[in-house]
Amino acid sequence: MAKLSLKNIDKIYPNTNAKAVDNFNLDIADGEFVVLVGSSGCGKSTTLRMVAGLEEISSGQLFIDDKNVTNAAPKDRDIAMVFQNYALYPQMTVYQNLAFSLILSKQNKEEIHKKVMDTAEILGLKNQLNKTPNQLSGGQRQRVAVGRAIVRKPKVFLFDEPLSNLDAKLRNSMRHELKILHQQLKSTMIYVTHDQIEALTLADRIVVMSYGVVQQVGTPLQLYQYPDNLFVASFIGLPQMNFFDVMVTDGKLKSDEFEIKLSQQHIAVLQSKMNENIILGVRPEDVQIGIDLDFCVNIRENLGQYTLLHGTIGNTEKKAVFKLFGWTEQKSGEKLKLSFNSQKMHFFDARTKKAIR
Amino acid sequence: MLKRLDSSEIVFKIIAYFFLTVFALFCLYPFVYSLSASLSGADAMERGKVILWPLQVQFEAFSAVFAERMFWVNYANTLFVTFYGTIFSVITTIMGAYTLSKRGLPFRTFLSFFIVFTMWFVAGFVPQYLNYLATKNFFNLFTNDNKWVVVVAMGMAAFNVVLLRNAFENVPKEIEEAAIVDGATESQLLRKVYLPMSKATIATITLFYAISRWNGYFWASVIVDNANQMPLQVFIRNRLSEILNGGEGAFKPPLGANYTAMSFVYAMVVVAIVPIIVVYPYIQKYFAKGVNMGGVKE
Repeated sequence: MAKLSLKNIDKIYPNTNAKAVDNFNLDIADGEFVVLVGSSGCGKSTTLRMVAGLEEISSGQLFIDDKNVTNAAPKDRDIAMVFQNYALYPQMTVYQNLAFSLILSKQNKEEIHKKVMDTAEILGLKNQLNKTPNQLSGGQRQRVAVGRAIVRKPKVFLFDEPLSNLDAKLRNSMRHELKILHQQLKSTMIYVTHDQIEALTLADRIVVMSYGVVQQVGTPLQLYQYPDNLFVASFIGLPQMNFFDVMVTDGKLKSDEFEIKLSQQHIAVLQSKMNENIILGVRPEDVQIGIDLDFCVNIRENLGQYTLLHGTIGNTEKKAVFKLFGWTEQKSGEKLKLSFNSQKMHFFDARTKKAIR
Repeated sequence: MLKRLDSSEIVFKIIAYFFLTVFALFCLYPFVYSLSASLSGADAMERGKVILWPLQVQFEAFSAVFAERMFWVNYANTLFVTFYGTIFSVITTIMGAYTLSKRGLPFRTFLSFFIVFTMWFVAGFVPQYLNYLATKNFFNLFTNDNKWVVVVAMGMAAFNVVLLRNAFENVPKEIEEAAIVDGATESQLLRKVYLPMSKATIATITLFYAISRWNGYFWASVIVDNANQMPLQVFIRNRLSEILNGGEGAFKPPLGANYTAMSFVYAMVVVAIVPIIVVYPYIQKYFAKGVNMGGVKE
C-alpha cells in the first residue's frame, strides 16, 4: 500500500503543441480507490501510463510514498498494471504468466509457488493453471491479468479499462470481484474507464477529465449531486442531465418552453444573474407529474423498475428525457404536464459553464 | 454444408491444381533421379536408360562413397560451417531485427533503408570478395582454419532481418509494456517475450540459413585453399569436374564394379541432402500458425 502525489503534471507529445495532460494535481491516500473517467482522448490513460512509467512525464513530479519517482523506470516504482486487452504472455501457461514477475525478481521457487497458488485461489484459477491464454474465456483471461498484478503485492495497482473487452454480464460480475478484491487487499488502486457505472460503483473518489484537464475530483455522490460544471453534469448520470437555456427574471426562470417560479433559496443563489441567461440542469429522475411544463412523449422505454420517456418540451423541438418510477404506459404522442424537483435543480453560467451555487 | 462451386470456380481449381502438380513434379524429379542414378547399374547408366526409376539396382556406389575418407572430412566441415554459421547468422539477425523493431531508435528509418537497400542493389562480387579477404586476413592472425572465415564473412541476409523485424513489430505493444511493468530488462524482454512469440519466423530464417550454409559452395571454393578444410559441396563439385574433364586423377570405379563414376557422384549428392531432409520436419512444426493467439484481445 502507498500514497501517491501527482504535482503539476503535464504531458506534451513530441511534434505537438497541445497538452495531452494539463497541470494534473492529485493526492491519493493509502488504500484509496481512485477512478479516472472521461471520454476517449481526455488524457486519463496517458495519466495512468505516466504513473506506470510507460510514458515520460513532460513536466511536474510524481511521488509514491514521498519518494520522487518522476524519472524512475517502471520496475523501480513497485506498481502493477492490468491492461485493457489482457496483455498475457501467449506462449506461457497461466501458472507461468502469474509467476513471471516473481521469477524476474529472482524470488525462490517455493515462495513463487506459494504466491502463485494463493493468487490462483483468490481468483478461482486453480483449475486453469496449466492452460495457455488461448484456452481461456475472456473473463478468465482478465482474471489472469488481475492475478498477474496482485501476485506481486505491489504498492499501487493500475487498471487501464480492464473490463471494456468483456460482455455486459461478465463486466458486472468482474466489477463486483474487483470491489471485493480492493476490500480484501486494501491496496491503493487507480482505475481508468470511460464507463461511468464502473466509476460510480468502484471509486472512493472519481477524477473527471476532459481534453487533458481535470474537471472535478470528488466522491461519486459529490459528483452526482454537485457537479462543478456543465461537462461533469453531462458526463455523470445515465441518461444524462437535461439542459435548458433559461433567463433569470423577477423570481422566475423563463424559457421558450416553460416558466418556473423560484424558491427564496434559489433567488438568493441567482441574485447576481438577474436578467441574464443561464443553463438549467435537471436530472431525468428529478421530475414528477405536475404543472410547469408540457412534455410530448415520443418513445417510452420500460425498464422494469422505472420508465424512460424520450420526448420534446411544449410545442418546440427541444428534446428531453425523463425517468418515472414504476411501469407506466404512456403512448407515443401523449402529452404530459411535468414539474421539476426544485431542490434538485442545477444552475450553470451560460458563458463559463461553471456551476452557480 | 458444403458450398456448391460454380463452373468458373471448378475450372479455376482444375487449372490451379494441374499447374501446382506439374510444378511439384518438376521440384521432385531431380531428387528422384539422383536417387535412381545412384542406385542404377553401370550398363543402364551408360546406355542412358535411367529416366525415373533405378534399373539394375546396386549399392556399390554408396559403398564407395562410405569408403571415401575425404568425403567424410568435408562432410564434417560442412556440418561445422552449417552449425556455427547458422548460429552466427541467426544471432546477428535477431540483434539487428530487434534493434530495428524499436520505434524509439534514433535514425531508425535511415538504418532500415540502409539494410533494405542491399536487397535491391547487390554490391557485386568484388566488394564481397574484399569482404571475405579482409575476414580471412583477420582470422589468419589467430588461426589457419579458414572454415571460420566462411562462418563469419557470410554474415546475415537483409531479407531475413526484414522478415524478423516485421515479426517483432507484430508483438503487441501491451505485452511488451506488461513485461516492462513486471520488471523485465531489455535482454529479458528479447529472450522471454519477443523470441518465444516469434518462434515461427525464427524457425523459418534458421531453415533459410541452414540450407544456404549447407549448400554454400562459391565463397568456400574461393576462400578455402586447404582440401582438409573444404566443405562438402566443393568436394562434390571438384569430383564431378574431374570426372567430366576425364583427367588423370578423376575417380574411376574399380574393374568389375557394377556402377559408373556418375552413380558415385549421385550417391554423394544423395548422402549430402540427408541432414536437411531429416532436420526439416523438426523445424516445420514451428511453422504452425496460432502460436501467439490469445495473449491480447484483438
